[in-house]
This record gives sequence, C-alpha cells and structure tokens, in this order.
Amino acid sequence: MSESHAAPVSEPPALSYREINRDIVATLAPGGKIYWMSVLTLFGIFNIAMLAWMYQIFVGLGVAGITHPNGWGVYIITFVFWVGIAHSGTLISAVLFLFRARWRMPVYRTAEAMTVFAVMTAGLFPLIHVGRVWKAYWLMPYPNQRYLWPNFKSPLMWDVLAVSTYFTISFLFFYFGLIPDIAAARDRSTGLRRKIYNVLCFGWTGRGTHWQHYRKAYLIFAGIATPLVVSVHSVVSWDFAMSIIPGWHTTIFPPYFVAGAIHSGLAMVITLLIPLRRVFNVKHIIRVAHLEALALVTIATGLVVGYAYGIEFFIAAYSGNVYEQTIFTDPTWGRPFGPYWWSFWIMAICNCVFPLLFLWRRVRTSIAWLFIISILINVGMWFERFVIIITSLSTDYIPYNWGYYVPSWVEITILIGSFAWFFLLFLLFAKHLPSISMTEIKELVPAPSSKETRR
Amino acid sequence: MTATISGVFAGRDGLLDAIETLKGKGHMALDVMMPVPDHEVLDALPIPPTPVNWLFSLAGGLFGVGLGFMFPAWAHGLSFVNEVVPASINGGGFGQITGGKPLVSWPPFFVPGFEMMVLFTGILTFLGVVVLCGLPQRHGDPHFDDRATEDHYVLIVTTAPESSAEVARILAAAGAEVK
Amino acid sequence: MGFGVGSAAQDSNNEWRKQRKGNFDRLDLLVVERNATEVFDPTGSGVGVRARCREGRVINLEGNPEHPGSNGSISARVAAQTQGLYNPDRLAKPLRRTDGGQLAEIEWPEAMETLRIWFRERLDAGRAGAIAWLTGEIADSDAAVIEAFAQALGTRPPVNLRLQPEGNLAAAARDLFGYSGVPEYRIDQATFLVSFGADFLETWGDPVAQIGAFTKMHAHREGVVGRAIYVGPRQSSTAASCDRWVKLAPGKEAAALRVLIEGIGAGEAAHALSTVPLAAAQQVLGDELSRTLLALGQEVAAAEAPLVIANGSGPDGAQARALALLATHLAGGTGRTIIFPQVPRPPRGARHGEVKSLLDDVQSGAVEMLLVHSANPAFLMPGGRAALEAAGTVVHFGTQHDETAHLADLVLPIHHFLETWGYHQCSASALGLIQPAMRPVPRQLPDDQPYPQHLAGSGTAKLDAGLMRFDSRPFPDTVFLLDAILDTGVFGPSAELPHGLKSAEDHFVARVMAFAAEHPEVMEGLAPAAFLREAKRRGVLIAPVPSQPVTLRSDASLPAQNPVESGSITALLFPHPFLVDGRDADKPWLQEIPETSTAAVWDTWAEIHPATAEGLGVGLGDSITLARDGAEITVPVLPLEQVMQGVIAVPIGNGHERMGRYAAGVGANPMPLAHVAQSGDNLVLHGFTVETRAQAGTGELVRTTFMQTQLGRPLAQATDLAHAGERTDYPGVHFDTGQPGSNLRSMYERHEATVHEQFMWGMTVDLDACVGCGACVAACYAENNVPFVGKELIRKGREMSWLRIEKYVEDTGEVRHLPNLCQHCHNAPCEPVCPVHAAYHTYEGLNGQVYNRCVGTRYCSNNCTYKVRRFNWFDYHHVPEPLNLLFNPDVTVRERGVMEKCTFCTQRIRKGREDARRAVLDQGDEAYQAARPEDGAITPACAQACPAKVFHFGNMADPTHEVNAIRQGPRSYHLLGDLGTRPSVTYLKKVVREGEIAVHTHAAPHDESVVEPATEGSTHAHE
Repeated sequence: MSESHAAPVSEPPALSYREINRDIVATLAPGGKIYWMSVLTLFGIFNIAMLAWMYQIFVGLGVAGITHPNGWGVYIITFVFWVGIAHSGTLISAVLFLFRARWRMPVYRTAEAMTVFAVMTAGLFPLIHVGRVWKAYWLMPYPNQRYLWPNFKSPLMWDVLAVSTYFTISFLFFYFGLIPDIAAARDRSTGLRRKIYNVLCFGWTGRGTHWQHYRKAYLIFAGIATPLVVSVHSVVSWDFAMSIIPGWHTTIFPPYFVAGAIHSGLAMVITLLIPLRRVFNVKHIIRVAHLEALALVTIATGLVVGYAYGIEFFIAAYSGNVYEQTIFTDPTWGRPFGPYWWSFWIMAICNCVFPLLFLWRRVRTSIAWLFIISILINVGMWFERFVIIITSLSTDYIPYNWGYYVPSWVEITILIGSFAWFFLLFLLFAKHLPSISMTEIKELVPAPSSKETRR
Repeated sequence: MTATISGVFAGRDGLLDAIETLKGKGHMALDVMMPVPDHEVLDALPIPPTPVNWLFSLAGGLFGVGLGFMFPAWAHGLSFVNEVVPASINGGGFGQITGGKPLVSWPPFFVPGFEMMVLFTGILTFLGVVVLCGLPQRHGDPHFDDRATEDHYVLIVTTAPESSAEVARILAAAGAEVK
Repeated sequence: MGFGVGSAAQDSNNEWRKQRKGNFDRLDLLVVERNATEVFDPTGSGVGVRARCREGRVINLEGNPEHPGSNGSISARVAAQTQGLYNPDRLAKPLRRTDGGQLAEIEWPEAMETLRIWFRERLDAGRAGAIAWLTGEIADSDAAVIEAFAQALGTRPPVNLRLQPEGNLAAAARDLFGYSGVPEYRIDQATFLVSFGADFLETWGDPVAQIGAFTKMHAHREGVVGRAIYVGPRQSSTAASCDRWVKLAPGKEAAALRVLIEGIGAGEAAHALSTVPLAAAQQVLGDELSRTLLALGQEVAAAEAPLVIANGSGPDGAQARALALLATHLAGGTGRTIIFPQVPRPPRGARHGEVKSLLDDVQSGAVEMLLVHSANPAFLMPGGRAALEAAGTVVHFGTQHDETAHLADLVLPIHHFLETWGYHQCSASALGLIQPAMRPVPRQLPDDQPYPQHLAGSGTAKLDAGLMRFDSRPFPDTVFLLDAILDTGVFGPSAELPHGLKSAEDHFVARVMAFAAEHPEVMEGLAPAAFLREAKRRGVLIAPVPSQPVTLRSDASLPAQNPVESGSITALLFPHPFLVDGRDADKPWLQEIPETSTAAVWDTWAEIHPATAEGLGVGLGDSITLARDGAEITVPVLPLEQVMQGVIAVPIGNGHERMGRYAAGVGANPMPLAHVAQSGDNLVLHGFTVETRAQAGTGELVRTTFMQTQLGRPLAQATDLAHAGERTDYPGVHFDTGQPGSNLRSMYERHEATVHEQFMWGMTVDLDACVGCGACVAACYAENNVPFVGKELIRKGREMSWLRIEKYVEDTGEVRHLPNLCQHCHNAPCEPVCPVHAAYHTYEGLNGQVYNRCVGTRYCSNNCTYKVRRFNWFDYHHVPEPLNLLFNPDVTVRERGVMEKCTFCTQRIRKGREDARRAVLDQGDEAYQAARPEDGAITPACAQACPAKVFHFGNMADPTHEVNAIRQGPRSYHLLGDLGTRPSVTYLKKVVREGEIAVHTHAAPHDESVVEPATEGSTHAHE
C-alpha cells in the first residue's frame, strides 16, 4: 500500500468542515450495480439459511447435529461469537470516549453499527437453538395466564435480560450519535430522501441548548455502556461458569470472555474497515494509523486470552480434579490431544500467535496482513467457543455418556446465513446512513474561521 | 412581544465576537445552531446547565435497579409481597424450588438489577434529551440554515422589537448574514 | 374365541360408552388389573406376569408376585412381548401361495377348505405318515393339543425345535441315575457355583428365576458369601457377575469338566468315566489349565453346597451336561442343589438330530406335508431353508410373517398368547396358567363383515365383562383351529380332540380341574367354580413335589464324545441376551436396548480379542466375513478383551430377511454356520472352525457408548468382602466424597426439613446385586412411553432411555454394572438453569420436569452431571398402528422439542399416595392430609421388574420405610456425591469377593460430629 504511514494516529485529518461533509456524504450516493448485486447475493444466502431453519422447525431439531451429551452446538457457539463481535463496538465507542482517545472518532460509527448488527444476528440464535421456538416467548417476563414468571435464577434468563438490554442501549447510543449526522445528510439531500432523513433525525437543527443536553447525555451513555459491555459478556460467560460442568465451571470466565469478545470485535472492525475505506474512498479519514491502533489493542487482548487459556490448564493440573484434568491435561482426552485437538490448535494459534505478528510494525501497517490476521482471529474466536462448549460437554463426568459432535448441513447453512445477514445489514447501513461520524471528525479539525471563508 | 433575529456566520471567530458583544449589551436570550457541540461556543452562551443527568438518567437508574432487584424477588415469592398482592396475580405464590436454593435468593438478582438499571438509565436519558429539546421538531424553523449542519453558525437572538435594529447591526458588524 | 362378537359385543360397547359418559370420577374403573397370566420367556421358561390393562388393552406386563419362579419380576424379553401383540407387521389374515408363487391374503373359509383338501389328499392316499408337525417355543397346552391331534390323525409325532433343548439333560439323568424327566437346579441353595459356559443369568435355563436365585446365594445384601465361577471363552454378563472368570477355549467343556471331576474325586463314577480318559482331557487343556481346574475341583469338593452347570451347545454338549450333573453329584450337591422331583416334568425340545432328520425327510419328499407351529426352522436350523424350499406342502401357524411363513404354502395366523388360554408347566411343582389379557388386537375390520358361517358359534370365547369389546379380527386359538379342522369331517365323524375340547378355554379349564384332582390340597376347600376363579386370579397353581433320592446307576454311562475341531480361529455363537433365538427380533425395544455386555444395538457383530483382531487385520470400523460349509456372513468387528484370543463370538438372533420392519435387514444370521453334532445330540454353536476374510472399513457397529471404563473415577464403586461391613472412602478424589453423613458445606440452608415434611422419595440401588440384565430398562420403556428411535439416531447418541445400565470394566477385568437414572438431586444442577421453571423441585422431593413448560434450551441436560435427561429431537410418538395402543395413558406422550427424564414413575407415586388417602377418606380431613402410603406400596417400574431386587424405593420422610435403613448402610454412597448435588438415589457398593479391587477403598476417618446417629433414621436424614 502506498499510503503515508508517517502521520501519527493523533493527527487530525487535514480537512475543512465542508470537505468532511463532502467526503462522507459522498458515501451515501446511490449504490451501483456491484452494490446491489452484493446485497441480493447476501439476501439470497440469508434466505437459504432461513429455509434451513424452517426445515428444522417443521421436522425437528434432530436435523441439527446436536445430540447427547452435546446439547449445545453450532447455534450457541455462533450466538456467543456474535455477542462477542458486538463488544468492540461499544468498547471503542464508549470506553475510548471516556478516555478521550481521539483516534476512535473515524472508526467508532462503523464499530457501533457492527455492534448493533452483531447483536441482531446473535439474537436469532437462541430462537434457532430452542426445541420449541413457537414457545420461545415464554422466556420473556410478562404477566400470563400460566401464573408463572420466568426463573430469574437461570443464567439463560440473565442472558435474555443482558442481551436485550445491550441491544437497546447499543442501539440508542448508536442512534443518538447518528442524529446530528443524519441532519447533516438531510441538508445535503433533496426530495423524499430529505424527508426521510428529517424524520429519522427528529428534525435536528443543532441548537446550542440542544447540544448542551446532547453532550451530557452522550457522556452518560458512554458511562453506562462501559460497565454494560463488561456485564454482558460476563453474563454470557456465566451461562457456562454458573454450570457444574468441568471446563465450564471456572471463575476466570467473565474476564476471559470479555477479553475474548473485545479481541474478536476488534478483529471484526478491522475486517470491516479495510474494504469500507477503500470502497468509500475515505483513506484520508480512516488512515492506516487507525487500523494500526486497533491492531495494537488486539495484541493486548490476544495476550489476555492467551493467559486465560494457560491458566485453565494450570488450574486443572494444580487442582487435582480428575474431571478437569481429563478435559485439559489428559494425554488422551485433553483439549490439545483429544478428539477435538484440531479445534484447540486453531483457537490457540489464531488467537494468541497471529496477533503477536502485529508487534512488527511492518505487519501491522500492511493492509493485506491486517486483513488476513483479522479474519484469522475471527476464525480463532469462533473455535474458542467451539472448544469451550464442545470439548467440555463431550467428555464430562460419566465416561459412558461421552460422545462426538458433528455439525449437520443445517447448522453449517445457518452459520453461513448468519454472516450473510450481518454483512447484509452492514451493507444496507453503509450506503444509507453516514458510516463515519461527521460531527466528531469535525471536532478534531480546527473550526472554520471567517477569515478563511472570506479569502 | 419579542423579536427574533438571526445571523449566519461562516466562521466561529465572528460568532464568538458577536456573542461577546451581545452579552456586553445585555442581550442574554441567545442561542446558536452549529454543526458540532463546540465547547467554546457553548461556554460563551448564557444558557443554563442541562438537567438531563439528574432529572432523567438518575431517576431511570434508580427505578431500574429497584425494579430489576425487587421484581424477580417478588416473582419468586418474596413473602411480604405475598401479603399485599392478591395471590391470583402473585407469581410468588407458585413457589418453585430450584436447585435447593431459597425461593428468594438474592445473589442471582444482582444481574437483573444491574441490567435493568442500565436499561432504564439509557432509555430515560434518550427520552430526556427528546423531551428537553422538544424533539421531534418540524423542520420549518425560519432561522435554520442548511449550512448550519455543515460549516456555518447561526446565532439566534431573541430581544425586544425595539432592539432588533441594534442587534442586526452588531451581527452584521461581526460578519454575519442577518436574516 | 373371538368369534361371537355379534350382538353381545355391540351391547357391551354401548354399555361401556354409557358408563364413560356418565361419570368421569370413576375413570379408574377402566384400569383393569387383569388376571395373572403366564408368559414364556423366549428361553422356554415360564414367567408369571400380570398384564396391566387400560380400556381393554394391555399396557404393560408386570411380574406376578405369586409366581414361585420369577417371583414378581420379569425380563426385558418378557416386557417386550406386548410389542409382539401390537406389532404392526403381525399376521392379520390367512395367506395362501398363489399360482404366481406369491403369498396372498385369503378369507378363513377358503383357508379351511384348502387345508381340508390337502389333508384329504394325503389321507385318501393312505399317507398319514407323510404328514409331520414341527413346533417351536410353544406353551405346554398347545404342545399337548398338537400331540393329541397328531395321534387322532395318525401322523408322525410332533417334533419340538428349540435352540437349547433339555433333551440332553434328561438323557443324562436317565443314563446316570435312571431318572426320567428333567432335574431341577436350586441355584439359591448353592454356596459354590461353577458354570461351564452356561449364561444362566441371560439365556440359559430359566434366567428370570435364576437371577433371583443367584442374588440369594451371592448378593451381599442377603448376608451370604456364595461364590460363583464362570469357565468359558467369553465374559458374558453372567461371567461378569461371577467372581472369577476362568478362560476356556470353546469346545473344551467336556475335557475341562473331566479334569474338574478328577479334582473332586471320581469315586463311584470311576467306571462311568472310563469312556472319558483323563489323560486325553488333560492333553486337550494343557498343563496350566488342568492344574487350575484340578484346584477348582478341590474347591467344589470342599464347598458346602456345590453346583456345576454346563451349557451343552458345544460339539460335546451332551457329554458336558452329563459330566456337570455327575460333578455336582460327586461333590454332594444332589438333593440340595439339584433336585429330582418325584413327578418329573418331561423335557422340552427334541434333540437337534431329530429335527434335522425331519427336515431331511421334508427335503427328500418323505414328508409331504409339514405343519409348522410357532417355529422358524428356515432361520434357526442350518439347512432349514433349503429343506423348506424343497418341501411339498408347508402350513405355518404363527403370529409373525417370518422366514418360515414366507416359504409356507398356507399361513394361518393364530392368537398371541396374551389373547388366549393355555398352561405351561414352569417347574415340576408349578403350573403356570395362560389367560387372555385382552380381546385380540383390533384391525380394520368392517363392523358388518360376516364371520365365516361354518366357524361361527363353534368356539366362542367368553371374556370378562370388564374389558372393552373391540371388534376383532378372527384369530383362532390353536385348539379351536385344530378342532375346526376335525369338524370339517375330513377324518370321519368320530375324529375329535381328547375330552371333546372345542376351544383353548375348554382346554384350560380341563387342565386346571385335572390339576386340582391330582392335588386336592390346592382346592383349599373351595367349590370348583370358586377354585377356578381363584386359580385365574393367581395365575399359577403350586403343588410342591417332593424330591426323589437318586443314586448313581451301576451301569451309568456317558454320551459318546464327538470329534472336536481345532484351528487357530474358532467360532462362538451365543444367543443374544434379548433376541435369544431370533423369535423376538421384531420387537423394537429388544433391538434398541443396548446388549448387556457390549452396549451394541440393532445389529449382529463379531467380538474378537484385540490381539486376534490385529492378527486378522481388522479393527473397529471393519467388517469380517465368516465362512463355513458354503455359508457365510459378514458382520462388523468389535475388538474386546472380554473374549479369549482366537475366538470370534457372534450373537444369534438378528439377520432376519422377513419378520417385519423392525427385524428385516438388521444384522446377519450366523446359524447357517452351525451344524448338528455328529451324535445328533445338539446344534454345535461353538468350538468349530470358520474361515475369515477381513473387509476393511465397512462395518460400523452402533453402540450406546464407546467407553466401558470409568477411567479410575469413583462412579461404580466397590469394596472388598473384608470391608463390606464398614464405611470406606475413595481416595484419589481430593475433596469430600459425599458419603451420606459426610460434611458437605453449603451457602444455603437445606430445605428438606422445612419443605419435604411428608414425602421425600428416595431409592437405593444395590450394585452388588445388579447383573446388568436390562429388565429395568425395558420396564421403563414400557411404563413411561419412552420412544425407540432406531439405529441411525442411536449412532448420533440420541437413544431416549431414561434408565441405562452402564457397564464398566476395571483394569483387573472386574466388571461393574451401574444402573443410572435421574438421581432426583436435592441440589439439582438442572433446576436453577431452566429459564422457564420446566425443571423444578416438587414438594415431595422429586426433580420435576414439566413437559408443557419446556421450551427446549437443553441447558438442564448439559448441566446434569449424570446426563440422564433425554431430548425429543423429533416427533417420536408417531409409531405405526397398532403400536400406538401400547402407550400408557397415565404418562404423557412427549412432544418434539422438549426434555424428558426419569420421574421415579410419578404416576405410580401419585396413585399410591391417593390410595393411602382414599383408605382414610371417612376419618376426617386431618387423617386424610396425613395419610402416607405404607412401605412397599409404591414401586417404580424398574424396581418392580428387577429380578435381582436391585432397587428399593420408599419415602425418606417416613422412618418406617426400609429405604432409610438401607441408605444408611456402610456400603452406601452417592454417585458423584462430592459435587454436592445431594441425590435421592443412593448406591450400595459392589462387593468384590476375589482378586484385587482396581481402585482400593480404605477406611474413612469417621467424623462423629457430622454423623448424628439420633437423626440418622429419622424423618429428615441429613443426607
């Protein structure tokens, strides 16, 4: 790549307010043939997955590969994967906002959109997973003629609350940030499009008193979203940690999951930004330095998950607990050596070794390397959940129960369909709403001065 | 009877000058329209601090944590609730023992408590902004200028009709297009 | 029976409908605890059962506690008999071979006319001797009437085909002791039992009764220290339950017994033994094994009450059985462990040589017309198929469209034995009564279809009025059918069955009254009509027959020895513990329940020692072809250390080409590999050589587990005899063992004391008694509508069994059976994780599962440390009609997408509780509320079925219930108790009597501060 690597991440783009508007509104220009072909393709793949789901609903969950003792399989793995992906968005947006890390500004909108769409994707999976999807609404706490409230002691119930809260808050946060930008887009467009944008931005005019409320509210959102991020993946980890299954019943899970979630989320942001900045021609706004900053964080998160992997082995060996040892350190059944050895090594190498390559500046400033490694990290993080869920269930307390899990074509189709759904949403978003925050980038550059204008 | 005069500035320096001048002349009913939440402008404007944090966010948070903590307790059969709420609508009357834990076992309820706190803080904060700003507002503000979401600033002065000429002069002097 | 439906049935139907409309509160009247009846286990022995009926149909079979042999318990085979009754492929109408060579359905009059013409032809030509009968595993009543029929016609006497006939034993008793009849074993009286390849806990003899007897002599619970030794080539479930397994290559039983007798001391039998030289036997066995057997013989001689039994299916089977009888006699077992009843019971099952010569005659044309009743020679006899294909005329009487029926020219469907009358001599002193439990299974018969006129009214059955009258397909019973044949006048007007029998019921009544005449004491002063009622209620008539003292004949002789084949690879065909001779292969439960020693399902396989398998170039996933005399089968290979090197063990029972959808195409039939011994005594099922051919990668054997070791985990625990009386702990697990009374800490207060004041159901499972026979599993399937899913789904791990028997082989070769079911934990991991309260704890201490609340997250199953929850992956309840009639209406049929599991038979608990309350209905509200069922009033299906009485169920909140005392015993422990789940199921450790325990137990420090003796037996035991 021939771009300048010299500009540090803290340096604002050399653009005026007007140029920022121009460049970013330009991304909203009507999509071409390639765009709509991509949208249609993704929609088609998604529909095939939905047909597979319908087949599963009508015939029975048995068409999936899930079985005894592996009651959870690809569906829950993918659920956790997407919830994890969802994490970086809010993290970049909220935590970096609180830390006043100015390099977040060009990338945070993409990350937030990713969060919302990832949660929307994740939210499908509990429905796909349950045996009687037509009764899934029973998980919602609502007054009913059965005189029965859901069980708030169940980690799955916490999941319902946490993920739906997370979706609501992420969406509000995302949308809240979008309001001034939609207003800006409105003012650069005409006709129906202008009317729609006006409705979407509540008729925002950018009054000073409104900015006063807005600024405070944005800070509060950032303030509550930060612990929420931590809590949501902690709750997801409690689905496992609160159980009694060796390999799941571990206190390290909440931080381990949160770190893993951020790890995968950062990788997914990189994966999305690289084509985005190229297609939308905003390489001068989302610069290599920003990707580099993201890559540097993945080194840290990769080390954290690597530590977590290691500590699980240590604790299993140190505790003397035979059930834990079977899952971790046993030479026949342990994760690195047992029937699922390949998944363990995919996980370990993709998540811990590849991010270390970012230690070399040459690697982390190379778009090609960044793209490849970010995808590998995503693969690794999917397999992390596979390893946790499948190896723990398949070799649990009673050897007589042990079994081997093989995903069926239905599960694979739905897994692929979930990616299609996610990218479809993202594609629709990127072309119809400002995928880079104009307002916040303007805050980076010097305000317009009358002298310049007169010039 | 008041008059509202607005001026569109192409640069922030002119805007700030105008604000200072107007404040010096005793014109305190000032508002701007601007593309970014500019600190300096907001600090210069004589507008009160926002109540959204305590009026909405805090209230939402308190309500959320109370609900998230007490509702599960009630649904699982918190005893004092049983005496107050008719059994027919009382989930707690069902008394489902699970895992040998007490019906109302507090540690698990921290999770709904926390999540509900965040949820209601967020929703109320959003609502607060909507309410305090009077959103959604019809796009028909006569002082609005399309350029205000790009790189221009609109200064809106509300004043007595007799002062409007003076205000217009000040705005023009600061380099604004006066409307 | 079943022919007089007409108006009487119509009235009865109307009556029933009126009753049902009238009052629903009397719905329990529809539960008819039917008269006891006799079921014959496919092994040929009688098992007393009570058929539980709902709305006129049999729901399941429970043991008849008044039956002296089976003593209230059943086997898996018996439990599955209802699936034969309701089998969707059961024969419905007579079939006749058309000119095109196909079997086509015909009406009864046409069938009878055909039969008449065929008989006429032979009789007119004076060839009555060219008519022959071949019968199978039939009741004595049917055998008797067929015998009478054959006599009336002057045809050849019937030949009875059984896989393991008793003829050899009777012959040995005659030749050695001059006794005519079958001697009876008293396993419960033995203190030292040696079995030479006889799987007496599975398929040999009378297994249900023998398991009970074995438990009495062997289980630690009874306080006895009987020993059992198994000598044979394969560690069957029986061998696994014995204390020692002495490896003996197949075909060497006689030689081994000869050496054993030398160890006992030949004494008076020296003369008889002269035909069996010791030196030759020792040479066959080799030095080391000879020494072992000599020592074993000395042990037998020293034992107080020794018993030696032998299989009798080897090349020298007859000799082995005789030598075993002799060995027992010489060691002093006669009169104690072997009884010679004064009124002997005739042996069942002809020598296989006779069957073979009959089939040879059929093939050669000497027999022109073969009448086959409930036998399947085309499947079971080597060469049987060829004989039937070449046969002139074959008439088949039976319920199944099996291979023999398929080759027959006329097929006459008969009653299932649960629809008919009869009797069966279970032992010399007990006559089992067979009674119809229901009207014949309904078929789609138009109401107005007239019955064949010449049949109507000639043999109507009278059924109890409590049964709903279904319109029924006119299945005749055998007696009726034979009488109808005689009624056609073909044999002249005077030809009739003895005593003018017209129906099976007549026959039944005649036999019962004859029994009463022989043994007046059974009448107990009752009038004949009242006695008949009482006999029907009991289902069995008992008149103890004294034993007759016997002495060795001076001219005692032993059967001649057959040549024993020697080769590097010898075959061992053994009866599948559930399918036995293949007669029950069409019953899906028996295919679905994992085979007791390998956990294999829906298949035939070859068990080969890993070393031998390596030598043959096969392993797991490969197939092997076995060939002999032109016959060959290809079966999946299962490398197992539970067979000797150089032996290939193949189960008999599967490999049907016909016999309905559940049997056809499953596995392979190894019987064509077998041959009849040169002496004609028996079929040689083992000890013959086969050629082998490896077939790489073509055999996937489906088993419900691939791990038959517990990896040193303390799951199925054991203690040794010396420590059986004291509490011991398991080392190697560093934390609390969870023994009852151990100090488990919890954040939470225990809820038993406050919540389960009146009822807290609990169970104990005695691992020392369990022999892994699978009766409990089958009973659970039957009671709880547990669906069968088939081989493909089991391959994916989706078997639905609520109760499974886990077999674990220790490094020492010791085998432990662990029945694993829902433990109903008080701190159940499954409960709190359910988001919709589908899993919860009832106020009676049960781990409840509300199917209607379940949304199917499967979290409970994941979190269950015992993995006893099963998920409905599909709509399993869509079974072909009329199998749906088998569903127990007391138990929900589960929808797709919900989790299910053991409920401790909550429907039975409910009934027991309500019965107790109903008993005090007039004593006021307080008494009503406080009423608790007595100990033993509630028995879950598994506990009821178990012949070894492994399970004990009761109310732990009631100190009078025995379950409290048992679970406080020194051998008790909780499965995975260290996890703190606090199960309601308490296991009692197996007692290892010989050899090392793989993981040693050691005495636990007894913490008196934790165990509170005062409260131990009280209402709320702390654990």
